[in-house]
Parts: sequence; C-alpha cells; structure tokens
Amino acid sequence: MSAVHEPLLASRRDVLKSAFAGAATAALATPVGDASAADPFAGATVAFDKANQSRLPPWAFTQPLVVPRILRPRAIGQFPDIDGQPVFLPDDPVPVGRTFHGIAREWSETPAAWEAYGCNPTLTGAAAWEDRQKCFRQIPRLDGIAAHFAIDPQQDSIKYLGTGSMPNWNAFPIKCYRIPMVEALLPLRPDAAFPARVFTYGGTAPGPMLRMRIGQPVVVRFDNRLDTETSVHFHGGHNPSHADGFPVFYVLPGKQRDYFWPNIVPLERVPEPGPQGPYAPALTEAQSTVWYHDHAMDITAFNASKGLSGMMQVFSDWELHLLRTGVLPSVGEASVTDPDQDGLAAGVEDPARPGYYLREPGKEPFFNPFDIPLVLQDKIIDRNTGQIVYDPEAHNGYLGDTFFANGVAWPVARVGDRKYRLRILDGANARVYRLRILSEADFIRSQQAGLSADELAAAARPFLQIGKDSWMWSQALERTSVVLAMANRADLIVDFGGMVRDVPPEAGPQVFYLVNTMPQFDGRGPKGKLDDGGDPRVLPLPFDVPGRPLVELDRPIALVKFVVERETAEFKRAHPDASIVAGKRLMENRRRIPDADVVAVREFVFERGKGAWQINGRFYDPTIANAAPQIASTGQRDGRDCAEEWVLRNGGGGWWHPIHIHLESHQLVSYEKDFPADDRIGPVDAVPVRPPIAPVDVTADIPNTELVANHDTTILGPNTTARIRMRFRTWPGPFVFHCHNLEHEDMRMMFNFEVVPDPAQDPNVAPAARSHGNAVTLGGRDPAAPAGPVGELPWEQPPVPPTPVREAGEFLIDPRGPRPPR
Amino acid sequence: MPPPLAGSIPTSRLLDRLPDLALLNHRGETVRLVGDLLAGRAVVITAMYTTCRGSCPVTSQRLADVRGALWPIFGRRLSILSFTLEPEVDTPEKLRDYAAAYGADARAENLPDWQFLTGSPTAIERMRRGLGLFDLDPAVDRDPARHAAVLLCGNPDHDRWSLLPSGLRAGLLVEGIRRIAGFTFEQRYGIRA
Repeated sequence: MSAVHEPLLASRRDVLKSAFAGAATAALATPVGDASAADPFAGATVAFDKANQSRLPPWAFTQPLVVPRILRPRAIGQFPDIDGQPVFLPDDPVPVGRTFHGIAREWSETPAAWEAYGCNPTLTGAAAWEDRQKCFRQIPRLDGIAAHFAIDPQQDSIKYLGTGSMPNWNAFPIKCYRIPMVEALLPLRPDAAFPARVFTYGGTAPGPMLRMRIGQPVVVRFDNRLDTETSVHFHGGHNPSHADGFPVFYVLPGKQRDYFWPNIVPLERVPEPGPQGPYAPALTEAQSTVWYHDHAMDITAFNASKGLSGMMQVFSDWELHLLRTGVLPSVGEASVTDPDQDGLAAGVEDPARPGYYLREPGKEPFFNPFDIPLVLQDKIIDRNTGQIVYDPEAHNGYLGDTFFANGVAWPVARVGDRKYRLRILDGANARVYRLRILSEADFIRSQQAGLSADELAAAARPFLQIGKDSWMWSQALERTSVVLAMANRADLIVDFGGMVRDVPPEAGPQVFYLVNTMPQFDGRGPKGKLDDGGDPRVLPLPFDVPGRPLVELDRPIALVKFVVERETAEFKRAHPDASIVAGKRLMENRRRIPDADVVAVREFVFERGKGAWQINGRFYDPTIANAAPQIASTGQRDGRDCAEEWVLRNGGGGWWHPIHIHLESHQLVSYEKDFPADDRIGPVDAVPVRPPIAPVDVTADIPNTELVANHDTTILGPNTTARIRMRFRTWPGPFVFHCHNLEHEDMRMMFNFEVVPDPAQDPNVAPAARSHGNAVTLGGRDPAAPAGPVGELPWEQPPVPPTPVREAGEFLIDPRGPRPPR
Repeated sequence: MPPPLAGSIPTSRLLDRLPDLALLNHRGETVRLVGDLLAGRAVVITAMYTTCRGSCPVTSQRLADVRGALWPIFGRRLSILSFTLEPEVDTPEKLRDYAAAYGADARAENLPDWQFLTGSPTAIERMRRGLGLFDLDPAVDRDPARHAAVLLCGNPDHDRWSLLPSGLRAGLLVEGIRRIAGFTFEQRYGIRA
C-alpha cells in the first residue's frame, strides 16, 4: 500500500463525522416496510454503496491504465473489390453486403434528395460511387502544407486558404473491419473472487478503438455471438439510418450486420456560391472524438452496463494539420500518417495480438502516445461472484460505486512532464461528472478534512478544453473544471509539464488525480445531500460558468492517478512539447443557422409519466414517426437549406435529462433556467412546476466558443429549457432522439424522427415499409420470402391504425429510384 | 444461441439474489417465489390491489388483452403474476373474485397461467423490494394509489429483464414480452434462427 492510501483508509471515521453524516446515517436507517432486514440488495457487495462512494479500496491506483488497442481492417479496396466479395475469409465466407441484416441502401443506391448536389439517382454500384466523388465536392487536402490558414478577425477564427483538395466521398479506399460481439471473462476488481462475464466488442471492454479518416469510407461487420440482440450506434456520427443503431435495427444473436460509415462531411448550401457551386462540404462538421455503443430496444442500459461501448477517433485534414505543426500533442509525422491508408501494409500487425496494430510509430495509424482516450464508467461489482450487478429496476438511473477508466478500476497512468491530450467520455448509464485535477497534497487534504467548493476551485489545476462531443472548438478555453453528462465527450489539453515546473526534479515523480466532485447519490441527477430528494440547487446550470455558486463533494471521488515523471532532455528534443496555449485559434467557427432558414419549430417536453418516462406525454413506439423533418437540400428558403428549431424542455421533478439527437449536430440557441422553481422540489415532491415561475435566460453565461460549437448531447438540468437548431442532411430514414440516461431511454423516453425529402410525405402512412429497416436495407435475408425482394425481417406487429391518407398507398414511403438487380 | 461460458463462474443474476418466499395465490395454493414462479419460466409481473380505482384495472385489462396472443408463443412456459400491494386486505378469495373479472379465476386450456398473489405483509414487501417494484421516493412508495403502471417482464434464467409501461399498445407489449422473456430465438424474434 502506498503512502497516499493510509490516510484515506484512516479517514473512514471522518467521513461519518462530515457534514453529510447526518443525512448519511438517516438515509441508511430509513425503514421502508421492514426492508432493512429483507432487501436482498442490502448485501454490501451487490448494492450501490452511495454513502461510501468516495472511499478508495486499498488496491486503488495499483493497476495500470489500459489504452484501447487500435483495430486493423481486414480488407482495403475500392468499391468493386469490396462489394459482394468475401473479404473476411477464411473465417467468415459471407460477402460484404450479403449478411442477414444486409447493408445500407446508400451503399449502392442514390437517394433522390442527392439530386440537389448534382448526383444522378439512377446510377448504382461503382458508377454511383464515381458520381458521388464529384457531387459530394472536394475538401481541402493539407498534406505538407504548413501555412495555409489565416486568422479572420471578424469571425474570430481561422480560415482555410489552401488550394490542394481531395474528394469528400471516397478519397481513400474503403476499409473493412470485422468485430465479433462476444462474452468474455474479465477481472474487474482484484478483490473479487471471480472474473466477470462481460459483453464485449472483440473481447475487450471498452471495445477496440477505431481510427478513421474523413474521406475514407468504412464497413464494419458486427457479428453478434451474445445471448442478446444488439444494435450498434455510432454516437456523434453522420451515417445512413441502417448503420446508425436505430433501436429495432438489430443484430440478432448469431446474425451479422454490415455497418456502412462513409465518413463524409455533410454538404451545406453556401451564401455565396464558390468554385464548387451552391454546395460546399461543411468542414466544421468533421468529427474528432466519437464512440460506439449498444442501442437495442428496451435493453440498452443492461447491454451497456455489461460492457458494450468503445471509443473511436476520426481525423480530418484540419486536425492532422494541427498535429503535424505541433499545435496539438503529437510525435510529428507518425501521428499524422496511416500505413494502411491506401492498402494493407506489411509488418504493421502485432503478432501477439492478431487483428491489432503494433503500438509503434509508423505502424499504428496516427500513432500518438500523448493522446489518451478515457472512458469513465461506474458499475456495481459483486465481490463474492465478481459479476457486474445490474439492477433492472433502477428507474431513476443505474449508479455504481466502482469507478472505471477504460475498463480498469481506479487505474494509474505514468505520463511525462509535457502537454497531453485527454479525450474523456462519460460512458456511464446515469452519472454526471464534474472533473477537476488536484495535486496529491490537495487530494489528501480533501480526503482528510474535506474542501469547500471555494477551496476546491482554488486548488484545482487549470487545463485547456479544445472540444466537446464529436467536434473540436474554434479555440482553446482555459478551465478548472468540466461538467460531463452521460455521452458527452470533453477534449482536454492537460499540461503536466506546467504542473511540475516549480517542483525541483530531485523531488521525484509528482502525483495528480483526476477527480469527480459532482455530488450524486441516485440516478435522478446531482444532489447536494446524500438522502434522496435533496437540494436541486446543487448546480444551477449544467455548464461550468463563472459567477454561479457550485455545490461540490467536499471529498471528491478520485478516478485516475497520474504519476508525472521527468523526460530526458534528449527525449524532449526529439519530441517537442505541443505549442497550444489558452485562446489558440484552432478551427473555423461554424456558421449560425439564421432565423430565416427555420421552417419548423417543435417542442418536446421530457418528463416522468404513467410509471415510466415520456416525451410530450407519449411512450416511445418504434413503428411511428414522431416528427418528419425535411431533408435540408430539398427545402430551400432564400437560396439556403431549410433548418428546424427544437425546444427541449425539462418537464420537472428534479431529474436530469441529457438529450441526444442522432444523425446531426445541433447549435445551441438559448438556455433558460427557472431558478425559483427549484425551491418547489422537496425530497418527496416531484410535481412539475407549470407554468414556469421566472425563467432566466442564461445563454450569456455560456462561453461563446462553446455556444456556437457543435453538440450532439445537451443536458437539461432541473427546470431548464434549451433551444437548439439543426439541419437534417444527407440521409433519409428513421432516426431517434432520446434521454441518454439509459434507464430513461429504455423506459421509453425516446422519439423517432424520420427525415423525408418532401414535407408532404407522411412516413406514418406506410409503417410496414420502414419498420425493421426494410426501406433502408440493401441485401439481407428474409427467410419468410427467400425468393422475394431483399430486405430485413417483416415487422410482426399490426400496423399503426390507418390514417386518412392511407389510400395513398405503400409507395409513398420510398422516395428512391428502382432497386438495382442483384 | 451461443453456449454459456464455463459453468465454474458463479452468476449474480436477480434470481440468485431473491429469497424463495412462500406466497398464496388466488386459488388458495401456497407457491414458492423462486422455485414455483420464477425458475425456468418466462414471467410478466405487475403490482395491483383489488380496490384500486387508478391504473390497476387498465393494466389488468391490458394483460387480459395480450394473454391470448402470448399462448402460441410461450405455451405453459409463461406466467403472468399480479401481486397485491395490500396483502392485509386482499385475501385469496378477494383476489379470486378480482381475477374472475378478467377471466383468470380458473386455469385455462389455451391461455398462459395467470396468478394473483398475496401473502404475509413481510413476504410481499420482500418480494416487492427484491424485484425492485418500489419507488425511490418513500412518500410515493408508501401510497399504493401512486404505484407505477408498469409490467416487469423477464426471463429469470437468462437474467433478461425489462420494464414495459402497461400503457403501450397491445402489439408493442407482445413484441416486447416475447423478445425479452423468450427462451429460444424463435420465441424471441418470431423467425427461425
């Protein structure tokens, strides 16, 4: 046991003496019936130990942090080399696009909506791909170009001035990956008697990391070998409906689905037509930090808690430029090259781990030891059996008291004294994190005596935030804390070198802790007190804004220990530190969606109802469309693409709802908070406050950089309303939006939106054509009609009750041209 | 269905944590929660009480509606369990009268078994807490009239569970119940593997 742990253990008694002690003991002693004697979850190792979640086990920070390995594609080639070819031989003979669940129709067919881009919808297959290389325009190619950016003082951001370019669609050949979903035995706690049965992608949890490049299409075959149906969601991506993880577009046990992720940036109509015509790729939509996780109907929370999630990274030429020029942490050329870019290279695979790259410069694509992905999760582990305990009845949301980073409980990471990029994902079911970095001395002080919010803020080490969710920001902002709701990502630059600059080298390695200071004791959301109910004013806003008081854990929960070791002068010369500083311009600002483009405003109220979770008073129904936004390129106003404004309203009760919208990024227009309404929420009263008492527009509290950036998940704190805008581009078909508290999502706080090319098209007139993905699937096997048309399983349920326009027929649903002969 | 991993690793399923409580059904029979009602069976569980004027009649009617559709899928392997929240009041006789209103008082040939359960208040409370059919808000939890209108459906052996709002339309309920609680691929998804 290291020195740091002894005071932590000794502080057990202090915990009970703390300010929370009264509430703690009261909550533990509260009898409900005679539950104290009867509750089978009362056994210490199968229940969420909320009173002691700050306590560290003696073995904490003894296991090294594991960085997920990079998966290698099994085949790389152009469309004719891949389509219909058995590229996964010898172990998988099924040709690409011919799996049970097929592949997206856009793999080979062109939606009619793409005519606006200049595509020819009658073309299919390789001819369609050639056509798309032209109509999806060119994006800047920055290889070897050092100075083709200029600061635009008016936009307060960077503008691209270069001339080199490459196609947005299929600039590089298609990469084909294969990921089996299998049960694996993984030890999750060293003090548990047995390893846990974990649902994994490829045998690890989190799953293998994929590194992809904008302009390089990808097909991932997910092969389900689990005793559960799954659906894989590319979170924060812009992909066909078939490959987006729609809840009922399953990968059934024993079956496979080919997920087609084209890795394009969507096209946007530009105010002044340039050399590429009225449309140009929206470069600010290029993703950076994305992830994949399960999204199966009703059991997402269970599947995710059992391990089904993984990180991915996407590299745009903008980001590669920042890496190459040393603005972001990198090792130079090796961090911006992919040996497998144009075809399978020799000698890059790890012989000890077939299917994965050697973790060496020039072998692993975009090799970067200074870029550390961190998946934060909390789980309940039964120490007697070693198994993950999932409470299927965690209405409010599932919390755990064992804290994981990249699947390791309380890991330790050894880092050098330089800037590191930490890309952090809140991969928990229901936990909101407020992350801070504390020195060892401050952390020990906090565990022994507790620190007030002011003391914590003073002790917290500053870092830079350069992005949120999938996208990088226009500039780097200095922060001392960052709030991460479920599914949010934070792209951080932590200067460990700066933290030890004033410490003499002979003092030896210095220790810092990544800690969580968010007080949260149930799935409802952060709370200031241990008892259920509590004080919803713990956090007036789910953003970190100056000047608003915070309530924080006086004894923060440590998540990762960083041991900072001095690098040699020789190493530093070979690998110069990144140059990024606060305020550094990084990317072009995204253009605001103007009022004139908004063709529809929709309001969605997220609240508890009828024993579960509802939107606008309705439960989720996968067979109907709750909204049918028009695909942007088919509806124009004043020469611009159409857009929608959505009003997302928290229906009350003190719950927190992170709202995630699939397919598209959204811009935040405003954020309102009804402060007096918070006073109406007592420990037992969850009645929503309507109408709002005195909502205050707090939009101005959010830094402009964050406000105008792209978001894919926006948290609704208690008594808040967010207005967001987005365009629905490229991909027709059904998608979902939902609360990313996974228990709320499973208990039906989810809606469908179906992107249609024409506002007159009502997707609900032909539910049979779209359910289970028939309308979006190419290939696939229908065992009931082996000789019939291709497509997925027929929907077994009676159709939605007829609407007056049902006579219009089943054909209305499908806006595309004729199917190609197979 | 993939084969399970080595049997030497213990499980931590809900079934492993539940006490094998003795309960009384509406036919006056003593039944064991784990041994008779859960182990090896697919289940749909809901809470009710006979004098409820709120959600219980709606939930019970919805169960009566879908019962027929579940028979060809599950046969005798599915049980519907409605347990009372007022065990002091709801005797087996009262439960039998209540069951009769939904055609569930006697065993039926071509319908899944439907049992209405009571027992000692302690046993009912332990079952309720064990299955998690309680509200985190103690005030709501103490008031039977405010219990949630949800169906806990699951397959205890496979440890697959889902809470379905009883307000879903019947087609969605049947699809959810068969998919979550089914034993075989065909039961779950309606097609041959």
